[in-house]
Amino acid sequence: MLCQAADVSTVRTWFVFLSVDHIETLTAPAFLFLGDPMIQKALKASFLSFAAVTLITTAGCGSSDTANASVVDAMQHAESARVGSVAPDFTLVDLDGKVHTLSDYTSQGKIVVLEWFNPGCPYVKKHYQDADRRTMNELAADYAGEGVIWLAINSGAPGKQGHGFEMNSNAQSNWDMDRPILSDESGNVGRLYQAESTPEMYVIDGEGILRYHGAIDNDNSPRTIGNVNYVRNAIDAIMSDSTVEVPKTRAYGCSVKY
Amino acid sequence: MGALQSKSTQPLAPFGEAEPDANLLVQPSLSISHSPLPIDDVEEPYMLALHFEIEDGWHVYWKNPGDSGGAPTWEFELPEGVTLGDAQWPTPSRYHPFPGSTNFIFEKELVVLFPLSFDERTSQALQQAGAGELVIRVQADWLVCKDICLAGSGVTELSIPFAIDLDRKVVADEQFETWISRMPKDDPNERGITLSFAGGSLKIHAPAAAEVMWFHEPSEQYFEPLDITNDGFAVGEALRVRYSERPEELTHVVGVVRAGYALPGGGREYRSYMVRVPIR
Repeated sequence: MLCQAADVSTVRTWFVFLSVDHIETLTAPAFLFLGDPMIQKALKASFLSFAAVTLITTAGCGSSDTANASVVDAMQHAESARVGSVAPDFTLVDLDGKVHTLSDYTSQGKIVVLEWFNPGCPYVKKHYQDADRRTMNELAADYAGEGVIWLAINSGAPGKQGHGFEMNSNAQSNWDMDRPILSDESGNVGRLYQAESTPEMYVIDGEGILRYHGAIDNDNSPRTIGNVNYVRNAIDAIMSDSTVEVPKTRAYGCSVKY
Repeated sequence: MGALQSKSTQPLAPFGEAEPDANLLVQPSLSISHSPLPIDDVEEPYMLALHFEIEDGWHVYWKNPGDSGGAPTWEFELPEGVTLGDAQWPTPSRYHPFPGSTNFIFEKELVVLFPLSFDERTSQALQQAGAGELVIRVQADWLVCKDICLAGSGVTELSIPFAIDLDRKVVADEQFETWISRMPKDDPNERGITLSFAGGSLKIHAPAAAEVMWFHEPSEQYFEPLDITNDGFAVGEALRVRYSERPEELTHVVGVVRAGYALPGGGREYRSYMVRVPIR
């Protein structure tokens, strides 16, 4: 069932409710955020835009107050991300209008890396700006052949540092990011994952269990790169059916601009 | 005689394009507590200050930045035989970048102090020289934030005159006295503050305090308060800070406890103590 969750003129955020059966199979309800201007701009150029918006605007939902209450209630009861537990499911849209649902990947046994992203944050930039040391790109490329999915998520709110289609699109292009940047401008998925920094990393195994949460590496300066990459170590451990030796670290970086 | 203070030299290029220049939002400088430095007076503890002057409305971070952020870093170039002791940080303030998230920050200024000493050979060599200058240079990097975060850096240096057989006692500059007074003290017992760690929680009791805060000092291994927003501050005398699972090799929790005491005429007086609490 599809519902408009709030007044489009004020919040411009839309939620796609999955069926009740589907929700019960998930750790948390999946949401699709289409109100983001960044996403709307991307959607304008895609067939998905027409299909998704048509579906939403034609669906009967009852009162939006009811829908709002349902959303808030569902979010309040959603289990937060916790290492060793099932990672909360979510659905977000990338810059090209493509829909990404976490469980679609994990149900195929794929390892998923989530990277909280803000192209304006110096700590993010340090892993991208220098073409000779693009930590995230190199890591994603190393495991792309192994079927590892890497999703960058921007939970910045409109008007905040690093928000906006153009800035993210430029970053994706200028930094040779061969992977999607998902918009979460409402911050709901960020809060569900308790993401506080950019970059903040999560590694989810093929069974949907969160196996690592924290920093990308062991160097919290805004300029230099660490000599221990926790995400690489976590992926290697998962792929070899081993224990992730360091399952949690302190993430460093800018605060997420909710 | 006043403390000697350096001026920044040319800053490095900024990261941002249309954003403020982070190299100008924070101005680093160096100062020495005694000038000229009386090399033959080994009684005095000499202190070097790395001073960050911060633009209004912006902040930099403590050594533990909290839920996000990053502490300033520095790299000194020191004359041979000159060494700096551990950095001494003042007590930070709590700041919430968004509800449920807490940072430990400094606004307006941050002064980090370093004890400065010479090895014996250098001391003798300087005494033989009688007088001269020592040059200390530092490259500093920082993250400076308000609603946005920017990375900046700067290089600054200080020429410190030294001398022997001075006909007067060179005392520490008043500014240093002020800075030193802001540092956390060592003995929480002076206010009857007690701390214990058991059952995965740090318990703090500060008799007669109107508020208590805890600033955890990070360790090599992951060992963190679970919720610094709710557990890092309490109104009243008592604070309980729940911690993540303890790595076996860690035997102590280290940090700064800050207690605020109501003053008769209104306002608060704050006391900070650096503590090392055994884990049971």
